[in-house]
Amino acid sequence: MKKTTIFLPMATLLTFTLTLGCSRPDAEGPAIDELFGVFEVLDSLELTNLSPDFSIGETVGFSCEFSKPVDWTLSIVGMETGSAKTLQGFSRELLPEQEVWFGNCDDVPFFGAEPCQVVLSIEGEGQELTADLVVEGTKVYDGIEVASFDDGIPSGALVWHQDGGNMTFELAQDEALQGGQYFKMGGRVNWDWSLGYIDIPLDMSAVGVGPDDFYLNLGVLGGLNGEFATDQYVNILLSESEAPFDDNPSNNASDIFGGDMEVYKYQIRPVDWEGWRFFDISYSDFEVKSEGGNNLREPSQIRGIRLGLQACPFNSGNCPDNGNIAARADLDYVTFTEGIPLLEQE
Amino acid sequence: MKHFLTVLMCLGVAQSGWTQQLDQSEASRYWLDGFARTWFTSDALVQEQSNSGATSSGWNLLDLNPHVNPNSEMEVFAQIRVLNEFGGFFGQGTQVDVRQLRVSGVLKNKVKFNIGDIYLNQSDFTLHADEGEVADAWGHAFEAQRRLVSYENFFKGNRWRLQGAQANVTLDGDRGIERMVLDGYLTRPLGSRQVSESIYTPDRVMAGITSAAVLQRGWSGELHHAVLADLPNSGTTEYNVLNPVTHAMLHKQNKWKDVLVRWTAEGGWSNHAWRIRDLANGDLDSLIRSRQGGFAGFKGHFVGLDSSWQGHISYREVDPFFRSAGAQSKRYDFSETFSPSRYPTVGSEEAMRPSSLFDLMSDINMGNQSISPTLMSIAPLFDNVMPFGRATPNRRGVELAVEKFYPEVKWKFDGSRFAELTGQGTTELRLFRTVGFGFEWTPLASSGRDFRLSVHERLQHTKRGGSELEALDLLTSNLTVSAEMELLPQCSIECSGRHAMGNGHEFLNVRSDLGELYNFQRVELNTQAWMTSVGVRYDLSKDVLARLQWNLWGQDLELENQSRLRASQVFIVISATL
Repeated sequence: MKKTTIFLPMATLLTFTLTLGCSRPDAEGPAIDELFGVFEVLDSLELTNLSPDFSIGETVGFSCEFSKPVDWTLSIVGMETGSAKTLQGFSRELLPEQEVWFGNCDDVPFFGAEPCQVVLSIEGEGQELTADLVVEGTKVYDGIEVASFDDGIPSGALVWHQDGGNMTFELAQDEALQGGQYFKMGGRVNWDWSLGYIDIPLDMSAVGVGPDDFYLNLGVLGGLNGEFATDQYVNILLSESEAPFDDNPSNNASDIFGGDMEVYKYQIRPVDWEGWRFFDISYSDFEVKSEGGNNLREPSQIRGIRLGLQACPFNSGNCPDNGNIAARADLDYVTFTEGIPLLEQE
Repeated sequence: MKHFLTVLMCLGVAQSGWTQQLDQSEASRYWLDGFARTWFTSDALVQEQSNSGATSSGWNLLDLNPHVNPNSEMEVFAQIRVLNEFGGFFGQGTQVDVRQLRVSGVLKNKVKFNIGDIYLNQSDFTLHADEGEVADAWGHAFEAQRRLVSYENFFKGNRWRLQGAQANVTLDGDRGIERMVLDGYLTRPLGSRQVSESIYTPDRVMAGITSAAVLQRGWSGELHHAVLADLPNSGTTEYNVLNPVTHAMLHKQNKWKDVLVRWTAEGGWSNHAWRIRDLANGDLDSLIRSRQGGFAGFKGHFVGLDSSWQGHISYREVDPFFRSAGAQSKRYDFSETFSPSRYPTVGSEEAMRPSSLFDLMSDINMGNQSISPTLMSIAPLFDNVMPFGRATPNRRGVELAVEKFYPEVKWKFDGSRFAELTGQGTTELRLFRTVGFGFEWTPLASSGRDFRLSVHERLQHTKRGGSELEALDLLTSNLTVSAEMELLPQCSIECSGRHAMGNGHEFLNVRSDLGELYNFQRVELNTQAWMTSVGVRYDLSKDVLARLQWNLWGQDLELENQSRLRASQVFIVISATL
């Protein structure tokens, strides 16, 4: 018994020495005195560039230092467009090399060449710091442009629509999201879901990324005088068919979206808002519409895109209100991007 | 699909055994058992002005367990569940699925093995499921709710339910070694999953090996090693965990006067790191946040030779960076993201209701079945001293416990005093004290009808000095009472109650996805929560049991217009062991 009671504590002590003898830090985690202490702004909000020209790659860095780590939100708001960009973090200071604005926005409208207000708000402290800047040049986004409509309908594109009432499958200038023109899609068709579409031929053979990293970006304008047709939506088809784009002139637009071809579909449904909204859709989110190929979404094989407007037809009896209202879902700035969505580009 | 490989393995093994024993009788090859339960609850808020409408839910379930014995050394077991939720029409609420599947057997009369759904408990520091916050010193309070939650979450003792394979062999020796046990397992707590077309989560495996030897003159030893790891080539995610843990124990057992004494010295080591994948080329190319931590302890366990008392005293030290996913994963999810099944929002502003005692005792969805690679959230109101069981990191201290048995009364006392080894957010160290006391009274009634009263109170005190901001002084109390009185043969009245109360505040750790402590959340614990139940238990037969209970529960809230929530629940359960 005596040997045991001596041996085991000795063995334990030896184990302690071997396993725990190494040095430990005095404290783990951020200092509580700082985290929950008095909040002070040690260095006020400063901007590295008060008149950035984003078109030539200039950026704006933000710096500020507090007495303790805080949850902060920095927002930049365009005074003319209302466009906004938000940065958030939890830290003791904002470092200009880390907190950088590249001229992009959280959502459309895009920033214009305009004065902007910068507001840095601190959660739980009720304090805001402000600054002003002027955008001298707007950001130029990278991407594979499908249609900006500024130079008209894209080359080789085909437009088809029903013979309904007030059909507006045409270019317009009054409310463009980007540039000077956009493509209107609207009208009233009481007997069919499809009102019309625009088919655009594409050559994506140079694309080297997979479907997860390949995004379709586009702006959609919904509503007409504050009203929306019931169940109106944008129907998007991407075709990987190798058939000629326009081999049969008697067809309603392009020939590559047939039921026996490799076509993928995505719907922005419903379009029930007024004004512009911007969407980024990963190619992997498209579903198989017709199994005419290998069902592997291969961005480099895309040969054409169809952007159509569809809405519940009045004659179906399911949407009685649509007898008195025209459907509308206009398009602008249709662009593919690789790697990340367009609005997330730095 | 998740059972596909297991099914294939089971079928393969079953087929091989089947063909060897064609002469066995049919009756011994197949047999069935199982479990059936009807469960119904009706919940209502108890409000001062008016009673709200009651909501009800429930289901019938049948867990049928076919056992197939292709030969005397092998068994194929499956559990097939048919569940019908109340309110489903024309089969819409009916589910049928394979709940468990396992092949067990003995090879050459030496090696026992299990393949499929297996229940594992290795050691307190490698793989162990601590009962944690629901622990009841006497094990009777809210038995119906606890059994329901445990059964639905596969909680069996201190074992984790995992999918994989396990084998062990016992070897008898001579000379110095009397007996030796070797045990090993390989499981997959998390399977590779396709997140999108090109993004996959990795296969997470947990493997371990144990060797134990019984030597002569009362000596014995154990060596456990476990590792949790994301398989390098099975996924595409950026961070992949690696967590090996080793635990060694040396025991000496002897008699001293009228006491059987077992001394244990133990120690071990862990490493916790993340392997980083270079997303550009898919290779795992570096190891970050590698943290080593050790632990050591000494324990004496005493049992009176007449079995009238037992107790233990121990000293333990666990490093702040000791990490063992298998031992530190919690049974219950106390994270803020957990939404209670009953009344997830409260108040006129529809605020999220924090989970509380009632959810802990009765919400099936609060149970956690997975091994977490990082430390999970804790609930200081219920346990602030050892929230991760004996493997709780950053502790040094002593504990003792004594339990005494008389013919009509049992009592127990336990106490502990621990301190942190490293301060959190300060160089000041928390000091923890726990005192627990309880008794159970089972009078020998002259009427021959059974009666039992069980009471246990546990107080925990956490104190830290330092500046006004750093200092904390938290006292929590958890009182559990339960009683059962036999009214008629096979018919009893059951009562249970638990009251949890706190006074003070605490700083909860806020950790990143990689487990790094980067912030603290100050929580005020001047609060209380309670749950009571009274009901009737009727044993229709040896295997069929019916319970009708009325529960009243509540908790303090911090809402603008409401400081307390009170609710009631009618609880009916009929269960049958087939």
